Amino acid sequence: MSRAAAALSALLASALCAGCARDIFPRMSDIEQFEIIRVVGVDAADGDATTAGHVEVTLLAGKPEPESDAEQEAAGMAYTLASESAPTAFEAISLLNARADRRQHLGYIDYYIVGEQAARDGIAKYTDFFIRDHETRFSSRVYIARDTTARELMALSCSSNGNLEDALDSMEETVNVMSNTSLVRVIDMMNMLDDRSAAAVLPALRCRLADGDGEGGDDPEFSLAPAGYAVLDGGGLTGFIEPEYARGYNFLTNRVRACPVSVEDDYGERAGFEIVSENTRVSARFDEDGVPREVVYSARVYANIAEQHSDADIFTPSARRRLSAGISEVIRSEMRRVIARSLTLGLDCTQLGERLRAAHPVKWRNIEKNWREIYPALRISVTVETEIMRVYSLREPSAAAA
Amino acid sequence: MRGKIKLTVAFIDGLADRGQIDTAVLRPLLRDGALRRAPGEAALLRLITTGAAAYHCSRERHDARDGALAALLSGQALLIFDGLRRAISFDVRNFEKRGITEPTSESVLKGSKESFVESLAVNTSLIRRRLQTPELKIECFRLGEHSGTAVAVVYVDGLADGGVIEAVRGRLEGIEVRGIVSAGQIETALTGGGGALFPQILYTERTDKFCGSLLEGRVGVLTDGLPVAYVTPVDFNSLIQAPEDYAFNGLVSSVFRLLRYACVFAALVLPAFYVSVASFHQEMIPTQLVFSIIASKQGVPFPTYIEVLLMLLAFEVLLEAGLRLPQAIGQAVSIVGALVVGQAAISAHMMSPGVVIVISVAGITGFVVPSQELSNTIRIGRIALVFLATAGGLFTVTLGLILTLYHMCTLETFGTAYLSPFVAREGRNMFRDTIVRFTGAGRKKGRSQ
Repeated sequence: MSRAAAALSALLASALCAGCARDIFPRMSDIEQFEIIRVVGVDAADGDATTAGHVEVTLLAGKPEPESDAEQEAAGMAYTLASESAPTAFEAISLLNARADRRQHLGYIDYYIVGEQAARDGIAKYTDFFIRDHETRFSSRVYIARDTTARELMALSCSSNGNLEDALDSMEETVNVMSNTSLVRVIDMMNMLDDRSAAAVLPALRCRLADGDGEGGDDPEFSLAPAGYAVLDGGGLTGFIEPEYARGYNFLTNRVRACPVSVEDDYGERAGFEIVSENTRVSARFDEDGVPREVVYSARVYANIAEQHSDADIFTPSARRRLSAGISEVIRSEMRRVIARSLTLGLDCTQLGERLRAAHPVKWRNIEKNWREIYPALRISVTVETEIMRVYSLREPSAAAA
Repeated sequence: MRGKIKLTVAFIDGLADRGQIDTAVLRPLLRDGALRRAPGEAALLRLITTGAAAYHCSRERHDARDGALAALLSGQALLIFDGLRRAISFDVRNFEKRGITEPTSESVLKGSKESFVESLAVNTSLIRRRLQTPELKIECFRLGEHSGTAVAVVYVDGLADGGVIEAVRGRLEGIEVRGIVSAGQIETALTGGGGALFPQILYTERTDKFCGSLLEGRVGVLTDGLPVAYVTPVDFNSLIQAPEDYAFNGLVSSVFRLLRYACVFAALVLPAFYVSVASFHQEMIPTQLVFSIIASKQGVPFPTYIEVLLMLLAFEVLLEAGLRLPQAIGQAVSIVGALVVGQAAISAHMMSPGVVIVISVAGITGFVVPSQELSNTIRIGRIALVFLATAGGLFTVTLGLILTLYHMCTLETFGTAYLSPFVAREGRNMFRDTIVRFTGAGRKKGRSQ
């Protein structure tokens, strides 16, 4: 029994010493007392001189789904959107907490949206509170609101879709089938911001007017759409990788999961391909001082025939060769445009330095400090080799030419 | 007989068989030539006790009144020689006894349907039939100053540990009570009656389980008048095992055993875990689930821990009501309690569906445990853990679990560690036939080997 008493005493002593609070045990708060925050928008507050440099925080709180339609009608919208600006994000959150009828729980934040202006001012300053807070998760995703503020993007999207987090959730599917954007977690963003040799690249979003909407006097419908990538240097936004060739960034960084590519076949008709796999290698040529002078990106792409508009057999060896070349050209073009944009910005947007460090750690130690000067002077070339693997259920199209 | 000899036959009606008295006691006296020629009481007494006459039942001479009286009260017939102040007892007992039936508290899926009955003689015969070896030893004791209850210590010589046998004997002989009328008296004597939360003795009404335990080197105790048998020493692992484990192949029984261990943990921890995450660690709940829980708690006036405690209390009340009432009514109470009252409580927003689900799952997983005694411990333990969860969430629940583990580590039954073979450096035995059972492993070797 004395041993039991000793063990109990030791555990209680550890409990007393482990906590920072005055109470030994944590405070109980029942789950229904919380307002669950799902999306946070962070902006640089606009307004007069008194609010200059302030942080505007917009919170989207989810509501539990009502059991019946009648309850839903009574409950109104399935979300609440609230904004507040203050000198710091913490104060803004505190103000929002003070005016809310329930305590806001930040443990369920899935997405952060940072306004373009806030990103230009320096994203670290605006997101520091959320990264530091004990409730928030490092696995939450980060987006940059392009051409707008986070508050406006959230308000427009909510007014049209009613459920912003669902729209943001669908971005994951966009990544899986289009590969023109990617999912960046808070922890990834922190790593990118800490890496002084490369730029931080974050996915951008914009609120797009849905086609044909708003023409007949109806309220316009907006939808969220990927808007390329925001490039940040030292935490501040310096430019964008445009959505037209944003997929090239994913090819360069081996992030492509699947995406469609279409090319013209020998008969002048379109043929659609699904890229099912790719692997891009980097090889560098160094001069006698150990400085890289030339870098070659070699992409190996595997595609399947998903669709064809002509009625000819395009699965012959010669046709496949020509189609493969067409696919390679499309991909190479996108990759080269991303590289050109990186060189224009003078920033290593494709984490090339990181890949050189992994491949040549000793040489990297010598060039690391000068990498920002070395990178714009590099000769970077791209080669793409595509292999068409298979067709799906049909080998030849229906009503194929005899 | 040459002269008239006056004898008295005494028996207790209902305990002794009148037919047997007639055929096995009286008829030889009247018909047997040797007995008829006996010159006097002393000669007759000698002839009967030395076996000169053909008697078909066991007999014993009593020179003292106490011994004769004890035999009479146990149901034997007494042939009293008034002049000599001596008696001979004849074992003509034949009281009404229950037939061998299926076990009622331990259902059998694939195995023997035999269960123990209240008669010690029948029970020992059931064991003898299964273990036809001269090494099977059955030692009988008479316990209880007034009841004189027969208690048998059963073991297989060479498999059971001599120290354990001696200790069991010693503890049984140390019982000083007026009568053995309940199972608890034997149980308390065997376990020492300490303050252990966990069952330290295995009881079973299944003969196959009992014999299996004897073959593992354990020692059994049978009590006349009780349809259960005790097995000792016992460890935690054996309380989780079921005899059916050896009826299936190793892979299948391993899966069931793993399931049982998981169920024990779930039954013990689930309510406390729910209180902890709902009241202290909300961020642990997946996002969609948190909205479901919040929605289900809308309008419920009680905090989560009160809800959980009320539901646990209601569950225990339902269980007790189901046990005490006749089977048909007990089922009706369960249905009314669980379905009607439960649904009404949810509809009236007195309870949230989440709590009902958690308590139901904890209750059902608790029923997976083969040992009823361990199941009872879990029922008490989970309530204690809910109180701990109310104090400090998972921190205090973990504290409680550590103390429980510590308590289990300190337990021993007859020199065997309670957490054996997971402790005490038993090497390969740790994985031979414990949480998983490899094909071929089983009851081939006793514990002592």
